Amino acid sequence: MKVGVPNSFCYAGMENFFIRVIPEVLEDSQIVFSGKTTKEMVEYGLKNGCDELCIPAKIFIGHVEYLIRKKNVDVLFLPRLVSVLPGTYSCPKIIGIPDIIKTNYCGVELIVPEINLRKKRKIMSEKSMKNEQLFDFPMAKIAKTKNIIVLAHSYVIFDEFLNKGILETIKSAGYNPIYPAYYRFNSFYISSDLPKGFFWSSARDIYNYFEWAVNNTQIDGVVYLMTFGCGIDSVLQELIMRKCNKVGLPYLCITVDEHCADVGIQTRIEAYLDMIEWRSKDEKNYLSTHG
Amino acid sequence: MRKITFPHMGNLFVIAKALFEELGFEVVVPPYNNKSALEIGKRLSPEFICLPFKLNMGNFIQAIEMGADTIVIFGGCGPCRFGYYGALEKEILKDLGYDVEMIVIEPLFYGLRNFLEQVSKIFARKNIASILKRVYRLAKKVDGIERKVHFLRPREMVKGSVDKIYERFRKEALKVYGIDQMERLVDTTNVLLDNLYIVNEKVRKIGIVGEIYTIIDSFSSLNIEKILGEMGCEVERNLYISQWIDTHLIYPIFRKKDTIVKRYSKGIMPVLIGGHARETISYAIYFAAQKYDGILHIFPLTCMPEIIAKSVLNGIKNQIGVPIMHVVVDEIDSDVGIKTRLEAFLDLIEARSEKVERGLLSWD
Repeated sequence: MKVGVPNSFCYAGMENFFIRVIPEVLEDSQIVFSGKTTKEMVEYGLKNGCDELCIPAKIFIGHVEYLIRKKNVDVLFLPRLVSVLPGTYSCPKIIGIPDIIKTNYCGVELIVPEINLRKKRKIMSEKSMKNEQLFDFPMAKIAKTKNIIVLAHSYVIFDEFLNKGILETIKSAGYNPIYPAYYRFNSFYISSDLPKGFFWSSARDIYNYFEWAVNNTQIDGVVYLMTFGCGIDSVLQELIMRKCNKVGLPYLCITVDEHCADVGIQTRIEAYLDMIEWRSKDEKNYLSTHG
Repeated sequence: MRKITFPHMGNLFVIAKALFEELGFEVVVPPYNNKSALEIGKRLSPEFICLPFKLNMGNFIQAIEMGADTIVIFGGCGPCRFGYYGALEKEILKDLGYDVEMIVIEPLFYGLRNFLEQVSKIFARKNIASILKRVYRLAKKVDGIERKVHFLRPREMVKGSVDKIYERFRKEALKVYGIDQMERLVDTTNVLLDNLYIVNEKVRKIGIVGEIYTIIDSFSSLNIEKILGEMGCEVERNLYISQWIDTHLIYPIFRKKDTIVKRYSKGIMPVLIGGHARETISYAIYFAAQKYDGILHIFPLTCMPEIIAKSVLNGIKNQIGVPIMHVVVDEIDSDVGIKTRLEAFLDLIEARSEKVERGLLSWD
């Protein structure tokens, strides 16, 4: 039996988890990953996704369609990630995405186990449900100086279509990009300066990383990669911007969407880095807060 | 003495005003949602946040200018963005330099102590139980008026007479004090509505589903209910304020669930994804089963749960078999565009119904 697993959106970085779990659930199965986002998938997604969905979700639909059309999978394996950190929820779109696939692609069989750490109710086997094993991303290495923190959901940072090569651009300008990778921090570490801890797992992760980096490392600037139509980003971005204003960090917010114009974004990043360079050289005393 | 204010949401102000006055506070009701409130909200809020947040900000600023010093709002524990409204609004108002206290009533998920602390700031009064009971009855009655207005609008003999009475009710509600007077006002309005002359015309029935704020609040939904009423359609919504109280505050105590949601969401959306996405889907199917002529789905731009609901409705539109129109509301302040769309929608329903009567229609 061919089991299709799209690896984008919330399932990005879960490859090792799936390889461990699927043989436990299904006998003699062959796992088919959709792989990296291609232009073809993006087109499928844009055509079949509902207009208001955020870009990662549209691309996800493209991945599913690609698996169905080109790989002829028998079953799709889409766990419902209700909560991946104790005490938090995932974004409503992540929770509801199996329902979209179920109702829009009627011919395909779906396997939708529920992962819900909020209620400490585990549907899948105990061993594979250890928190740190769910997602698997390479951690960023923190340099002594010249760090730029790039904040976004992991499915944006590690998707080359969505991040438009921002990490590479920053690297080639001589700076070291650092970024949050899902859930490396103790989930019960609640940020002190927030009026209320976030109830979204990814938002909590990003904000905690940001605050930790501001307090413990030497960072020169903050770049927020916002996806168009993302509900969490609209709140999170605002809070991070306000914090940067108070601390006096140069801040840049880039909204990425389906249009593939890498060059424009590269120019903006370069201008931003030039500004940081110039500021550290010429204006040691005065700190302007906006990039 | 605290001067309490709260955000607008349709006729919520009628109920909240009576409640806080009965508890002995001075109440500042912000001006009804209007263009300038939206303008203020647009300026102060994050760009991609949903419309209710922007209107809330406008309400708060206008109320503060009128002298309010305490804001009461509900919190939440996700996953819809509404749970973070209070916290973010607090932050924005603080950065703007307004000296107001925000009482955010969080659900019990964040601890009983936190809940009691916040609630005791408001409810440190005698016989709360009887006040809450009377407020609940008032909420039921106010929603009854709204239902009656929806019923009468397409049937009234003298066009515009229903809205005259309804507007008068909303205006008078700002002047009366306490639950008793409010209840008397509701009763007189009921009598006035009951005495209207009605004509029996062929009335189409439209079901409205969607995000709670935008369907309850007529300003944010661009007066869709009124426009539809004038076009000869009776409107039924899936959410009213008293119904919200039922499903969120009273049913959990008795471990009860909305029977329609339970019945119709089976197999389509088994778990809660936040907001009212499940209600939207199940009521859309329910309205279709009740032989409504059309369904309107209203939600603010970037509303996370409703986008999922829209996608799912797209997938099951064959099963529903009744035309659905999706209306995404954002910072628009003209209703001309929506009028045109509604006219087209009603034309479609008209054309379709003839075919249904002659048995010509195949939905595929």
